Amino acid sequence: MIDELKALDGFRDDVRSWCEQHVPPGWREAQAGADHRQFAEFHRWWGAELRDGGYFAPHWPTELGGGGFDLLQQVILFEELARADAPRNSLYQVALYNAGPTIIHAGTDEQKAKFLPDIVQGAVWCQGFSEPNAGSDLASIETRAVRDGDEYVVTGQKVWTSMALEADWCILLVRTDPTAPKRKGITYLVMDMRSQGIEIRPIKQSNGQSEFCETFLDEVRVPVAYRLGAENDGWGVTNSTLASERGVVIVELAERLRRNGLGAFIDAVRTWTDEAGRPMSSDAGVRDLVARRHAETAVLRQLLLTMVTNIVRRGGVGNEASIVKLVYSELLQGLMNDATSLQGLSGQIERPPVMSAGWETGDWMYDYLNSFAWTIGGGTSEIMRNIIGERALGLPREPGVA
Amino acid sequence: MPALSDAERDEFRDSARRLLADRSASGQVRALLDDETGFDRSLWSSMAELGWFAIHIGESHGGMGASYGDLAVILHELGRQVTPAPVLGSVLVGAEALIRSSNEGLAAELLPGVASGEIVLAAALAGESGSHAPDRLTVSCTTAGPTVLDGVARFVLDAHVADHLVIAAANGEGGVTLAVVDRSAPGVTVEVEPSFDRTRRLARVTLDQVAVDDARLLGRPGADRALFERLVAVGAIGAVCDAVGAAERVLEIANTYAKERFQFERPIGSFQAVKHHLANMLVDVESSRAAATIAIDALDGGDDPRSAAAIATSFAGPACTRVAHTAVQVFGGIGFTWEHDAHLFLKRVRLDEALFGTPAWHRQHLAAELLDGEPSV
Ligand SMILES: Cc1cc2nc3c(=O)[nH]c(=O)nc-3n(C[C@H](O)[C@H](O)[C@H](O)COP(=O)(O)OP(=O)(O)OC[C@H]3O[C@@H](n4cnc5c(N)ncnc54)[C@H](O)[C@@H]3O)c2cc1C
Repeated sequence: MIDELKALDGFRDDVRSWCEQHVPPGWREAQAGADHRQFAEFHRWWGAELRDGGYFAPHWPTELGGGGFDLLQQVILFEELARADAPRNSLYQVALYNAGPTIIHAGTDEQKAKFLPDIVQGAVWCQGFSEPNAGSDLASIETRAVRDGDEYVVTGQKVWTSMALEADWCILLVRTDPTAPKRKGITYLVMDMRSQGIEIRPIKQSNGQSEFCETFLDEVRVPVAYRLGAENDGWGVTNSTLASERGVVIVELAERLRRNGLGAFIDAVRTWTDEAGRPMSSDAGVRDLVARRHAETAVLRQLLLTMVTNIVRRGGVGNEASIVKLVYSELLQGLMNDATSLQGLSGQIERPPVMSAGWETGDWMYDYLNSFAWTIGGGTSEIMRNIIGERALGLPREPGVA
Repeated sequence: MPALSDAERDEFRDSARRLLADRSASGQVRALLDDETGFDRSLWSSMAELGWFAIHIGESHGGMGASYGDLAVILHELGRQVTPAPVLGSVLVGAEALIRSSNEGLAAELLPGVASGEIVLAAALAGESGSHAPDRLTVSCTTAGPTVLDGVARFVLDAHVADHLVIAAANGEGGVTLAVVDRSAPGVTVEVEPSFDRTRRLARVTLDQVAVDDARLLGRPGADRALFERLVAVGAIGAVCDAVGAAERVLEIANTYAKERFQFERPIGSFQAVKHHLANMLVDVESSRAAATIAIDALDGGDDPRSAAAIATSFAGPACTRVAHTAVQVFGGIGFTWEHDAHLFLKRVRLDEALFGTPAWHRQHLAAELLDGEPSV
C-alpha cells in the first residue's frame, strides 16, 4: 500500500503545489463568526476554485465532469488538502457523496444527464430522510406521497435536514404504500427545493449554529420522472446511499483529525500549564493521554489504508466502513473531550466559531459539542454496533426490529 | 528482502493454519500445560521442515530472505492456536540479535541453526523487576580484563528449552552489552518460574561470574544500547502479532457461542448487550490488526521500529486483552472454568501485553517524542 502510494508521488506534488497557490492564507480568521450567507458565499467560491483545479468531484469519472481519480489518488488528494489546511468542501457533501453516487447507481440515463452535470457545477443538495418519529428506525418514515398522474403529491415533515436553507435539491424518502410492511412501501424521490409547499425552519443547534432544519412539506408536487429506482423500492436505494456516505469520506476526515485535531492538541499541551502553573507536558497522566490518542490516530489511519487497499484489490466497500465510522466518531469525540477537560476554565469562554473548518475549528469545547454530530448523525454509534454485530459477525437480529 | 506475494502469503497462512489445527488443537495444547518443558519437539520439527523459522533470515545464513511480514503470519497463527513453541524468543528476537549484530562470525555460526530449528535461542532483556529500561537491567558486565557477566535476568521467554541465551547486561552509564551465552555453560542457571500463561514459560536466568569470549559478543561492550532497544521493540511487535491472532480466534469462538447459546428462548447474541460486546471485540481486533501492520511495515520498510512498536503495543496490548476479557464475560459460567479454553486465550494475551514493556511504558516513549523534542509542526 505504502509502495502504491509512493508510486503516486508526482500526483502528490501536483496537488501540493496547487494547494500552495490556492488555499487562501488566513481563511480561518476570515471565517470566524461567518453567518449563513457568508458561509455559503465562501463555499461557492471555494467550490469553484476546486472545480477549476479538477478537485471538486475527484471520485467521479471525467466524462461526468469528475476528476477521474482512483482511490489512491483520492487518498493523496485528501491528505494534501488536510496538510494544507484547506477549507472543508462541506456545503456539497450530500451532493457529491450521497445524492450523486445514488443517481449514478440507481438513476436512469435521463436522470443522470439531468442531475449530475448540475452537481459538478455546484448545485447544493440536502437529505430529507429523518423525521420526528423516524431516526434510527428510518424505515418508519410517515411522509406520504400520493400519485397524481405524472406527479407525486408529498405531504409530511422532515427533520435535521442539514443545509436545507442553501439547498437546490433534496433526496427525499416518502411512503407510497402505507399498507405494506414498513420497508416495502418507501419510495426515493428527488425534490426541487424551490417547489411550492416547502417551508423550512432552521433549528438552533447546541453549538449555536443552525445548519439543520425542520422541513415541512405541504402537497409538494414532484415529477414521477424524478423517482430513483422503482416505486416502493426506496429502501434498497437508500442503503446504497448510506454505504457511500460511510466510505471514502472518512479518509479526508481522518486525515484532518490527525493533523488539525491531534496535531493541534499536542501543540496545545506543549503550551498549557496546570492549575499549579506547571507545564502540562510534564504531567504523567497527560503524557499518557497524548500517547494514547496518538496511537489511536495512527491505528485509524492504518484501518483506512487497509480498507482502501481492500476496496482496490477486492472491489467494493465491506463491513469495514461501519467499523471505521465508529472508530472515527469515538476518537474524534474522545480527543475533543480530553482537550476540553484539560483546558479547564479558559476553554469555557465562547469565541466566534471558525466556519468551514470541519470538525477541528481549534476551539475544543465547540468541537466537542460538534462531535456528537458523528456519534449521532449518519447512524448512531449504538446502531453502528448493531450493524457490525449483525452484518460483520452474523449475529441474529433483535426480535421486533425487522 | 523479497517478500512473499499476496497469494504465496495466503497459501502459507492456510498451510500453517492446517498444521496447527491438526497438531496444536486444544487437547494437545492442554497436554503440554502440565508437561515439565511444555515443548513439543516433534511439532517443532514439522514447523522447521515447512520452513517457518527460515522465513526472514537471509539466504546467506540458510534462510529464505523473505520479510518480517511473512514471519508475522506465523506468529499470528501461533497466537490463534495458543501454541506452545519458542518461535517468538528464538526466531524473532533471538535471530534479530544476530541479524543486526556486527559479529558476522557469530551470525554465520548460529543463524543457519536457528533457521533450521536445530538451534533454539532465548533473549534475556529484562531485569529482576521486569523492566526493559537499560539502567534497570540486573545483569552487569565488567570489562576490566575479560568480559564477565554477573547477576540475574528474569522473565526470559522459554529459556529452559534454549541452547543459547542472548544476554543484555548493564554496562556503565546507560550502556548495554549484548552477549551470547550457552545455557549449559558453567555459572549459568535457568529456573522456570510459575506463570499464569502455561503455553509459554518464563525463566529466571542467573549468571555467576560468567566469562564471555570476545567472539560471543554481539557488538562492543557497553555500546549495544541501540541494538538492545531494537530487540525490545521487535519483541514487542512479535507479541502484538501473537496477541492479535489469539484475540481474533477467541472472538470467533465467542461469536459462535453467542449464536448457539439460548436463554429466554433466544440466542444470547440477539441481546444487544451481548451483540455490542462482540461488535466492540471486532473493532478491537481489526484495530489491533492495523496496529500490528503499522509496526510490521516499519520493520520491513527499514525504519527504526521503536515508535511503531510503541504505537502497536500501547494500542493493541490493552485492546487484545479487552477482547479476551470480554469473551470470558460472553461465555458466562463456562468461561470461568479451567475446562473451557477462554482462560488460555486470556492468559496468553495478558502475557503478550506485558512481555516487552507495558503499554504505559511504551506510551512514555511516545509522549517523550511528541512533547519533549522540537515541535513537529
Ligand atoms: C448534526 C446532524 C446532522 C444531521 N443531518 C441529517 C440530514 O441532513 N438529513 C437527515 O435525514 N438526517 C440528518 N440527521 C439525523 C440523523 O440521521 C439522526 O439523528 C439519527 O439517525 C438518529 O436518530 P434520532 O435522532 O431520531 O435518534 P433516536 O433514533 O431516537 O435515538 C435515540 C437514542 O436511542 C438509541 N437507539 C435507537 N434505536 C436503537 C437500537 N435499535 N439499538 C440501540 N440503541 C438505539 C440511539 O443510539 C440513541 O442513543 C442529522 C443528525 C445530526 C446530529
